[in-house]
This record gives sequence, structure tokens and C-alpha cells, in this order.
Amino acid sequence: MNALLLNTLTLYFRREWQLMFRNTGTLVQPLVFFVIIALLFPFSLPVDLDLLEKIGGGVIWVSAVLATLLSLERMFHGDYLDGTLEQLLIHHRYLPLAVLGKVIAHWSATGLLLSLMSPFLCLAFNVPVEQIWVLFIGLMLGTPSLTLLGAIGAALTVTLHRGGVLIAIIILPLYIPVLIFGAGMLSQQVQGLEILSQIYTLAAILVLALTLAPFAIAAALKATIN
Amino acid sequence: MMNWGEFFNMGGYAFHVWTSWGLSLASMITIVILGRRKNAKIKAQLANQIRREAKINSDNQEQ
Amino acid sequence: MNPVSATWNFLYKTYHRLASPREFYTIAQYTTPVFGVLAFVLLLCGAYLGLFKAPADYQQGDSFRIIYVHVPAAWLSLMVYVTIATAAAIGLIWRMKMAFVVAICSAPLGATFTALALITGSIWGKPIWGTWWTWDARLTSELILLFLYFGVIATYYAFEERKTAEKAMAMLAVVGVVIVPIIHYSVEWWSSLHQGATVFAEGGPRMPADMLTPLILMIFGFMFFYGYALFIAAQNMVLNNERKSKWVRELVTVNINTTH
Repeated sequence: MNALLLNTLTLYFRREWQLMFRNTGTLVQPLVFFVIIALLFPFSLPVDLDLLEKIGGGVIWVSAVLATLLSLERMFHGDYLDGTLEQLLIHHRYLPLAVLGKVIAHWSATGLLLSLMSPFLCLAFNVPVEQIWVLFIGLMLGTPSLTLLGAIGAALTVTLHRGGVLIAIIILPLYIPVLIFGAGMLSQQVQGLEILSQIYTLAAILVLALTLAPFAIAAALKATIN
Repeated sequence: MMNWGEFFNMGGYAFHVWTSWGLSLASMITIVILGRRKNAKIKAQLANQIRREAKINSDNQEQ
Repeated sequence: MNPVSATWNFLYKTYHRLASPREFYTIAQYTTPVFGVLAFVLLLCGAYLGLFKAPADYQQGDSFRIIYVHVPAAWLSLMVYVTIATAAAIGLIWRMKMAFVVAICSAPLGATFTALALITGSIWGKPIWGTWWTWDARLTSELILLFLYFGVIATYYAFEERKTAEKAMAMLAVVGVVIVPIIHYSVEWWSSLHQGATVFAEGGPRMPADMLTPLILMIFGFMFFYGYALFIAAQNMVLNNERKSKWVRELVTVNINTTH
């Protein structure tokens, strides 16, 4: 029984992984988007290294949120168009697990890469080294929640032709707690305060999302695809 | 007898108090009017449709 | 029959009657005016007492009279969201048609109350805090709530097929209500971090009765108004949804005959 559950998870993880790496062009899109958005901010601000250092963490967080959002529309849409999703809905007993495998694979191609990329962006914003670590940990804990929450929106809008704007309207308000605690960690660190409580909160949100979101995603898929 | 001028002045906060109350009243009235108008519109549309269908039916019978 | 089981039977029957669009429409024709009159009377009494009888606040002067529209609107903004989520959950679990209608008809009303609470709040904030907007926890949460309402409304109208739209909207409302408390606490924590001094002190002197009575009247007035507006909107939606059914056609034909 347990082996079967695990098999479902790895099966869909591996499938998604293979599909994604077959098309590396779309794989790097969110990453490039992330970097460009973050680098647009200095152009819109006065040339001031202190200011950049102050806002750097927040800017990178907002860019990560936007890059995740951009990648969401594609999460289920391809599978919906070629009928894979319908097959999955018809015969699969462990739909939440299958979906979870897909979401984890999706995160490893967006959130994980974004987090790994963030230290280099920090250099552009003149962020000191001890804060780079804080930002990295925050992103590693926060981006999986972003992808999981976003997948609910992606599942709800999968049948729509132009679901992108609707996903943004639905999902962005739900991202606020993650953003607050993730970016809040940095300002706490700057003030020389303890950041453990924020790490715990982000982890708690992640655990909550990890346990509840797969069921919500599965229900959303069932509701919108007939 | 109360002083109406003083009442409307609201101790110098006339703009703030009356805008808030006015907006609330206006939005409530708007909601009700829009709802009633929509009801009339739906009923009129349906009645029209039924009349048209009745006409088509009677035309078909005459042929 | 003992009174408890009699009450239970009555509630059970009413619930089942309300579940059918036709029965709902019939019942609503009688309840709508009752709610309307109650809302009108309560709001009128509340407004009279609040504007004429309540004494001016010793700190804020007459500007505190904004409370009588601000607090009811803010209270309703939360209550309506909870109503939507409850109705949505009932609709999803028991596949009750009317629950979806109640949920989707409540959303624009809730958004209106939220917008009212925000606007009156910022109008009140100008003379008291000296600014139209401050990133206070309550204001920020209210703003996010408005966005959640927009999300629910946008989701419903994005789908062409009604049944899919209803389910998608209900899913979002249920997900939203799980996240609302988390959003609220995160915003509270965040604003305490960013804002040195709290702008208005909690737990101040309790409101005297002549200030509190109008407030309570206004809150109940707003609640009955919500019920009144909801009944009107739900009746419209039922008529529209069931336009092909026999009873709606008969209802409309009777209307034609009586008006001619």
C-alpha cells in the first residue's frame, strides 16, 4: 500500500521532470523573467547603493512571486490540451498524490532554480553576505508554498483560454503571508533581531500547504474538468 | 428647538461625516434600484420570448 | 410532539424547501419585504439616535459619528465572506443549487460593504490620524479582503458554463476562508514591525449606552439590509437560471395577463 502511494508520487514526478527537460527553452523562461524583473527596479530608482541594499531583499521576493505566477499557467494546461489530465482524473485513485508529484517537479524547475539564482542577484543589489543566506533560506522555504497555492489557481483556471490574469487576481492575495514572513525575515535580520520565529512560520505554512493543497488541487481539477 | 446650521456643520467635520453617511446611503439605494430593475428586465425578456414562441406556434398551425 | 423536535422538524423542512429554487422564490416573495421594512426601520432609528441624540465624543468631536456607518460595514464585510464560504461548502458537499446562488449573490454585496468600510475608514482617518491611508493592520486586511471578493466574482464570471463556474467559485471561497486568518495574523505582525506607535489605542474607555445603542441598531440594520438585497439578487438569479422551467414561464405569463 505505502509502496503504491510512493510509486504514484515518483511516477508523476519523473514524468513531469522528463517532459520539462525535453523542452529547456520553456524551462529557463521563468528564470530569465525573474532576473529581468529584479534588475528593472534599479533603473526606476535614484542611483543610490544604500537604497538598493535596503530594498534588495523585498525586490527579489516580489520578483520570485511574479516569476512563479508566470509559470503557473503552463502547469496543467499542456496536460489538459492533450487529454492526459482527463485520463488521470478518470482512472486515478490517488489523484492528490499524483498532483503533488507534478507540483514538486514544477517547483524544482522554478522555485528551486530561483532560490539558487538569488545569491547572484543579491550581488547586483549590494546585499551583504549574511543577509544572502537569510534570503536563500526564506526562498527555499517560501517558494514551495507559493507553487502549491498557485497550483490551486492553475487547476481552477485550466479550462480557460486566457486564464493568466484570473490566476493573478485569485492567487496574489493568498501569497501575502508568505511574502510578509519571507521578506520580513530580512528586515528583522537588518535590525539585528532573531529570525527563527519567521523560519518556523514559513515552515508551518509550508507544512499546511503541503498537506491541504494537494486535496484542494485535486478537487479543483475535478470541479472544472467534466 | 435645535440649531440646524450647527447640526449640518457637525462640529467642523461636516465633509467627513456627510460624505461617509451619504456614500453608504447612496450605495444601498443603488443596490436596491439595480436589483429591482434587473428583475423587471428579466421578466420582460422572458415574456417577450414566450410571446414570440406562441406566435411562431400559431403561425405553424395556420400553415 | 415536544417543542424541540417540532422546531427541528420545522427547520429541516424549511431547509429542504429553501433548497428548491421554486420554493425559495415563493418564500422569498414574502420574506423580502419583511427584511426590507426591518432594515429600513432599524437604519432610520439608528441614524436618528446616532446623528441627533448621541453626544459628541470628548476627543474626536462629531467626527466619531462616522463610526455608525464604518463599523457596520466592516462587520458585514467579514460576515458576508463567512456566509459565502459556508454556502459554498454546503453547495459543494450536498450539491445544493441554492447555496451556490446565495454565495455568488452575496459576493458583490460583500465587496460593496468592504469598499464602504475602506472609504469611510480613510475619510475618518483624515481628521483623526491626519492621513487618508496608513498601513495599519486592520486597513490592510480589509483591502486584501476586497481583493479576495474580486477574485471570487471574477472566477464566477470567467466560466461560460454555469455549473463549472459555481463549483470553481465555491472552491476558491472555501480555500480563501482557510487562508483569511493566516493573512490577518501575518498582516498584524507585519504592521507591528513597521509601525512604531499605534495610531489608536485599544481598550480605551468603554462606549456609553447612548453611543452604543445606535451602533447596535445600525449593525442590525445593515444585516437586515444585506438579507434584503441578497433576497432580491437571489430571486433575480433564480429567475435567470430557471428561465426554461415551467414554473418561471407560468409566473411570467401570469404577470403579462395581470398587466394587460
